[in-house]
Parts: sequence; structure tokens; C-alpha cells
Amino acid sequence: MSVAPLLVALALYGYAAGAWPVAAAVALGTLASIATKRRVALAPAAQRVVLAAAIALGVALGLARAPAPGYGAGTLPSFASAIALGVLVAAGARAWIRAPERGYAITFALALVGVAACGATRLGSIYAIAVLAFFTASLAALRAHDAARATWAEQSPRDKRVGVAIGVVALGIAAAIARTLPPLYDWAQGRFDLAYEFVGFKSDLRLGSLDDLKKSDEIVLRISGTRVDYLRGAVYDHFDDRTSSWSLARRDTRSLVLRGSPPRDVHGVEIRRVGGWGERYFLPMRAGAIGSPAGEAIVDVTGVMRPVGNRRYDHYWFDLAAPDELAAADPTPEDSRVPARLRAALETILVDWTRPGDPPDVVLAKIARHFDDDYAYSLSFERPAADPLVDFLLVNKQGHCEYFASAMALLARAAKIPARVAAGYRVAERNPITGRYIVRQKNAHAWVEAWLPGSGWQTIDPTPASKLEENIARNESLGRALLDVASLAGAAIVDGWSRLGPIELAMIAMALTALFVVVRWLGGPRGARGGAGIDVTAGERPLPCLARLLEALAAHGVTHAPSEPLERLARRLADADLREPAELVERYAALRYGGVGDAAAIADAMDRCAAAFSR
Amino acid sequence: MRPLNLAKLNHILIPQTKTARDRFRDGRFGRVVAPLTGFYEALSDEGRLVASMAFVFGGFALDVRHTEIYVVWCALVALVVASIALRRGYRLDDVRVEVEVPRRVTVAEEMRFAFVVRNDGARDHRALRVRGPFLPWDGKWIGDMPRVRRLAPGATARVEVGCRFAERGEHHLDSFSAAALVPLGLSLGRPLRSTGCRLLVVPKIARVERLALPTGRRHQPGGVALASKTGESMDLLGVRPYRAGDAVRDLHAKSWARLGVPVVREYQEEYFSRIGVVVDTAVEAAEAGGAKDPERLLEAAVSLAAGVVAHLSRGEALIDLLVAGGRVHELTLGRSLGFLDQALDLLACVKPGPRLDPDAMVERLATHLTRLSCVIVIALGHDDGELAERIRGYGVACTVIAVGDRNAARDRESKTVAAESIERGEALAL
Repeated sequence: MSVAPLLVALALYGYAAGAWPVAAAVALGTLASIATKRRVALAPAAQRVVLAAAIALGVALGLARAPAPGYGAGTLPSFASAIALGVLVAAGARAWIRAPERGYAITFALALVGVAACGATRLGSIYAIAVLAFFTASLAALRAHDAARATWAEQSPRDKRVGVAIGVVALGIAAAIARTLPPLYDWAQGRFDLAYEFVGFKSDLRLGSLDDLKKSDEIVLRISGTRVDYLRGAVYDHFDDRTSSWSLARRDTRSLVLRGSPPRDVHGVEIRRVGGWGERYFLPMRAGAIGSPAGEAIVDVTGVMRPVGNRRYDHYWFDLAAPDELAAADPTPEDSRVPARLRAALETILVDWTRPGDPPDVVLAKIARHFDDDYAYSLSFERPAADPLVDFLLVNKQGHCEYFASAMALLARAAKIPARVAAGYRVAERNPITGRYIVRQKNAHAWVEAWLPGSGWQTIDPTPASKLEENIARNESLGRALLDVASLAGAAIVDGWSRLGPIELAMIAMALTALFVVVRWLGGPRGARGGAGIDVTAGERPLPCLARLLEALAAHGVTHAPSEPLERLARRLADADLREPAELVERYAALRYGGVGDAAAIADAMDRCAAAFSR
Repeated sequence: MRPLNLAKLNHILIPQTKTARDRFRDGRFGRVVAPLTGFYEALSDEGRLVASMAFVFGGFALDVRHTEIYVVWCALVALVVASIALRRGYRLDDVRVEVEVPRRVTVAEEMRFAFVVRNDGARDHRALRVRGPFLPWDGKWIGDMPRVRRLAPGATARVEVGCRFAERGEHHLDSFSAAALVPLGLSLGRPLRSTGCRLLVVPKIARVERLALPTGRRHQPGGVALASKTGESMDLLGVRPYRAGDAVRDLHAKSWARLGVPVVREYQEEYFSRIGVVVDTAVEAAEAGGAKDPERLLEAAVSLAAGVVAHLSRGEALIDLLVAGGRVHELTLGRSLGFLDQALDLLACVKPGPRLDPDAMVERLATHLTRLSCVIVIALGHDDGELAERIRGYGVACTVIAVGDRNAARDRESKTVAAESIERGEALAL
């Protein structure tokens, strides 16, 4: 009965990870302990060592297998597989231990963690059935391990009814919560995404509100290698003047195979995502030799790259010198379309700002200069919802990057220059200690990509650089740089750990185990109160030498009740003229509860005394 | 700088006495967290494990679209909620509980709490779980909390649980409780609580085999009468013929009958040495004087003081005065009438104190010194003999026992005892 939950958990692991041989081996090893009825008696410290070794072995085996992509049987991610197998092997090892520390509850907890880890992929109804079977078996096993509880057969009809009622109610509650959570999650994520929408990384970019603009210091990306000014995450070519929002008109995409190893040359750039959602990659306009552990990505016609399905990876890289793999398509009529309602106003402005016959690059430069001279960057302004862009251009000449980018894109189009709005991050901040660049959420930015004959798509940032402080290239302050280094070190440890192979992990586990044993051996138990040298954790059970002496004394007619303090026993023995055992009991008490004396010598003396009494 | 006792950190915010804890529970914060503590109390050990796992998995279960860990979380939460919701019928009606606690227990010595449950009702109760109170930092339960498999109507169950305390002093414990396990074993019915209990953790008694007291010029007449207040119990010297004025109650009937003339019993008054014991508690001064572990020395000194008192309680001396740090305690109960217990109770609560100022101490003892034969000073680390000299100036013999390194005492009539010897329980001949 006690191994039933573990067997359920192992079966679930075998299915989820597609690792039936390993699961079967662990299950057989566990069942063998039942079949042979052999248990090993181990001291608590030795049990912990065995447990640690078992976990290390399981983790190594779990990491050794490569999961299949997607969801379903055999798709359990390596990390979850390592956790699941680590705890399940440990639970199996406990089956071989006589009187394992803290009883069956720990075995149950380990198996439960294994079952939960198997939920890291989606298995559908199989998982729900396995969870139900696991809990049913676990509750029965917990009952079987408690001698103070009646068996199911011994229970009164009332208790049986209540037990069944609890099970049925629990099943109903679990089903209700499980049905409610997914739609609740979608609703919550929808609300969160709305907040995210305004920084421009969703499918559209809407002008007007300032309420949800993200200005936090949260670090989103860490970049090492050559500096890249602009990292694109979204590009918009269609402007809807009724809603004042930008979107992408074209939906055609292509697949891109990603390289498997990071770049080593001077042009290489590595990006690690440490915040945000990871629903898109942030890359410069032209990048080659793009790689990621994901193996594959989707690129749209504007050269924006997205993950395939849910295969999001926080680490990717590219090479600026390699041939462009993003290859944004040539302009389409959508890149030149100006809403009819705005055309007159835009052309009026162009007449004022430019001269007929100006080449495209000059037109764009003049527009940018006017923005720089006459417009102000601001995050606190009031703007009518009806036509925010016209208000920005003609009336209230202040706004944030989205206004500047939108206005320039439409003015460029009015001047017959294909243009569109890009959104992503401006890379500006550098950690002077690590030499890496840091992108925070407040570096979210919007700019313009314009098509120049002979040059193709070019990045043009109309937002006045001097007025957007967080986007000015600079070094971090020393304090923030140190903090960043600390968090980077933590991330590096996690990352380094995840890169270790099974043999390296096993070696580390063995080294840690050896270190633990050495420390325990050298240090020995210390008292809770150092001054008095008293060990409050000292011995719940008497040492064998005392047990033998008490046994010999009992045969001699001197019995010892468990509640009788040893000091009192010693006095009683002395009164009975049994001076040698009295002294030995006192010395034992001093050793056991005072931590003084030579344990080996006392044990030897007690054994000799016990032997003398036995004769 | 003395090392921080990390074990105490858990208990900084927890009041030491039950009264203070009850006040905390009745306070605003206590009322706010009462539902949480009630929820925690309602769960069995297994239920707490399940609830803890639900709490842990909650974080991993947030992403319900890409993982299915939330299914496990749902099952855990549902089991806990259902078990709590259906536990109402498992009250222990007509059951009484009682805890038997020893009043005193020696530091670091195992003690046993006895928990008695009696079923005065007509209903059978099964699977009772007993829970002990939250122990102070120095306490540790020995073994698991006992469980009662069945309590039939009219039956009484007595279970025991061991405990050990590592620090001297008065310990106020909250109540024990007993509750019936609800089917599936994740929650408990409404618990029955015992009263809170109080016990004193007294120091270990050092093994003082011999104690040579300095010869004092004062032996106190009428020692027994003054000390024990039990009336005349002087030694019988013999019998003699009656003289006018003798007390009638001293007439010895048998001798009178045998000799034919009135004969009375004659008594001889006892003379006792009346002793004062002074325990130095100046831990910081000892540390300043070079002692490596002054708290350990204090424990050894207190233990030695207990040993001295215990040794003297077996002899012809009476301890009139016990001075710990700056506090003067008069022991009034007398020989063989519990003054060892009284002294142990006082020593149990000795805390580190300020440096002993000889002038101030002698001034405070002045009224007592006139009737003392001898004073024993137990010093920490080392002693410069100044206090002993002042006491001798009053005509009272004084001996100093320094606890610490060898040759720590500088006084001519002083002795030194190593702390290790006291801790090890070695026989001490002082």
C-alpha cells in the first residue's frame, strides 16, 4: 500500500517524459524492497546523505534525456524531468530504509513534488486521472502508516460516510476550481496585456491615453557584445485615422532556422531576456547568424522575429556582420498610404517645413529638426481623444515618442517617402563594471523606418534625443552597476547550473555529499547554548551501551522507568550499594546531556559493567 | 563580543509568560490573525503538509495555459477545504483532559509530561491526536506527540511525552490539546485544551563530596529553634533529679517510677554553623577579566552553588543567606524542610548581573553578617579577595571558590574549580 502512490507517480513520469525504462527501473527497485522485505537501518545523517545522493542521481538521469517538442507524452521539459526523477528516486530509496526519518510524510511529499513536476507539460485528462489516483493511494498509505488510526474496515459507518463525503466534496471543489482557473487566467492576462499594449509590443499601437504607459526601472534585457541602438519588437504599417492606431496590414510570415551556438567574434551580440513576456524577439533591423536554443522562429515581412508557438527562450544571439536573415520586404502601397482626412493638414505642414524638390533624406532631416526645435517631449499633457495626432501637430505640440514617430511617418508618406512605425527598445545604458548593456522597461521606444532609394529601409528617430533622458547613451551609476552585477551573478549561477551535463552534476553532488560528511565528522553536534555546552538535540534514544547496562540491571532486579531521570537512577543505584553502575550512569548522563566525557571510554566501561552483571 | 544565540531569534516576538501570550492573542493583532491560527490549528500534521504543499505549488500553478501543475494545486486545496468544512461533527463532547507536570526539572534532563484523557460520555472516540504547546527556544520535545487509538465510553487514556529544556528559569507553557482526527486524516475536530502549566528548570547540582568550612568564632545557639521554627528539638543529654522550677512536661515518668523520686529530662542546646552563600553573576566583568566563555562559567558557578547548598543540607550547617548578583535572599525554611528546593528555585532564575562591588555588598549584608558563622563566595573567572577581606573584617569567616581556570583565585583561603569538572560531574572536594 505504501508504495502505491510512488508507483502512480513513476508511471506518470514515464508517460510525461517518455522515459519508461528509467521509470520502470525505479519502480522495480522500490518493489524489490517490498518483495525482499529487507530494510537498511541508517542513522539520520546517513539517511540524509543517501537522500541527497538519490536526488543527485535522479536529477542527472532526468537531465540526460531530451524532451520532444510541443505538448503531450514525452514532452516533459528537462528541468521538470530532473526535478521529478530526482524526488521520485529519493522516495524510492526511502523504501529501503528502516524507520526513515520523519516517517511516511516525507515520502509522500517527495512523490507529490514528482507528480506536480510532471505537470510542467500538458497531458490532458491523463494527468487529472493520475493526480486523482495518486491522492487516493496517498491518503490510504498515510492511514496505513499511522498505527493510531483505525483501518477502513474498523471505522464506524458514520466515519465512513464522512470520509466519502469529504472525498466527494473535495472532488467537486477541485473540478470547479480547475474549470474556473483557465478562463480566469485569460481574463487576468488580457487585462495585463492591455496595460502592456500601450508600450507598443502588441499587435497594434494606439495613440491617445497615457494611463498605462510603462516607466518602470525593471530590467528587461541584458546585452553583451557590440552596441545596438535600436532593438525592434514590432513594426506597424497601417494607420487607422478613426481610432488613431497603428497595426500591421500584412500577415505573411516565413520560418527561420536558428543556429545552436552563440557567436564568438567581435560582431556577435548576445541578448538575455530577464523580464517581460518573451512573446517576441528584440533584434536590430538587419541581423544575421541568428541563433537560439529554440531552434526555429517565425519572421514576418517587416523583419520582426517571433517564437514558434510557446517555445520561448530567454537567450538568443546574432551577428551584425553576417548576411541579413531578417530581410524586411520592400515597401508596399500600405507604407505610403495617408488617411484622406489628414492629408490636407499634413501637406500644409510640409509646405511650411520643406521645399519642393528636396531629396527624401533632406525632407526627413528637416522634419526632424522642426520636431527638435518646436516640439516638446512630455508625458504629462491633455489631449482630445478625437484626433490626437492633429492635436499634437497643430495645437498642443508636446507628446511622447509614439506621437513623434507617428507624425513623422505620416509626414514622410505625405512627402511620397514610404515610412512606417517601429516599436521596441532603445539601448542606452551600459554597466561600466561588466561592460554589458542593460535595457529597462522605461527604454521602450517608438521610431520611424523610412525607405530611401538606394539605401532601403533606414531607422530615423524623430524624438528629440536630448529631451528623452533615459534613452541617452550613458553608463550606470556605480551603485546600480554593483546591484546589477549581483543579480547578474545570481542569474549566471542558475544559467551555469542548467548547462551542466549529467556527469558534471553527479560529480558536484558527490563532492557536496563528501563535503557534508566531512563537515559533520569534523564539526560534530553543537549545543544550542554554546556557553553551557548543552545539546538540546542530543539523543532521543539512549545509546546502546546504556540499554545493555539497563538490561543487565533489570535482570538483577533494578528496573528503570522511562520517566525516571538518569540522575535519580544513579542515586537509587548508589543507595542500593551499586556504586560502579551508579557512577557509570552519572558519567553517561554527563556525556549525553552535558556533552562532556569520552564517549568511547564510557561505552566501554558500561559494556564491561553490563557483562559483569550478566555473569 | 559574545556570540549571538541564534536559537533565541525565533522567539524574540513571542512573550515569555502565558499571561502575556494570552494578552497578545486577545489584542488587535492576535484577533486579526486568529482565523489563520484557527485554520492552522484545525489541520492535522498531514493536513498541514498538504496545505504547505498547496502554498508552494500555488506559485508554480499560476501559468494554467502552459502547464498542468494547477491540477495538483486544485486537488490539494480541495482536500484541505473539504476536510475543514466537514469537521464539525468531531468534537470531543464529555471528554476531560488533564496534564501532569513536574514542578521542577533539572536543566538538560529529560522530563515527562503525562496527558490524561477521560471519556465521560457515551460516544466512542477514535484516533485522538494530542498536541503540546509551543515550547520556548530552549525546549525540545523528545519523540513524537502521543496518539490515542481509541477512547471508549468511561475509559481513561494516559499518554506521556518527553521534553528537555536547555536553559534554567521559569517556563510558562500554553495548554496541551486533544482533538479527534476527521476521516481522511487531514483535519481535526474542535480541540479540548488543558490549562497552561508552569515549571521551573533548576540548575544541575554539582557533585560536592567534601566542603571544608573555615573555622568561625560564632556558633549560633538555639539553631534549630531559630532555624526551623518547629519548637524544641534539642539533643537529649540525660536525666537528673527534679529541681523546683523545672517544666512539668520534662518529667520522665519511667525513671520517676523506677527511682521513686521525680526525674526530669535534660537537654543540650545544639549549635549550628549559619552560612551565607554569595554567587558572583558578573558575566561581563569575567569576560573583561579574560574569561573566554563567561556564560559557561556562570552556569558552572550556579551549578556549584546548588552543589554547595545540597552538600550543606546534609550536614550540621544551615544556609541563612543566598546572594545571587545583587539580590539578597533569606532562606527561612531551615534544615530538611525544603530549603534545598527553595535555594534551587532561586538559583534557577539567576541571570547575569553587574560586577560585585565589595563596599556595597558588605553594606547590604551588614545586618546579616552579625549572625553568620561563615560566608562562601562563588566567583566567576577570578577573584581578587577584596570582598572576602571585607567580610572577614566583620569577624565572619569567608572562603572563596573561583570557577574558571586553575589558580584563578588570589585570596589566601580560596580554591579554584575548573568549569569542566563541574560540568563533567566530577566529585569535588573543596
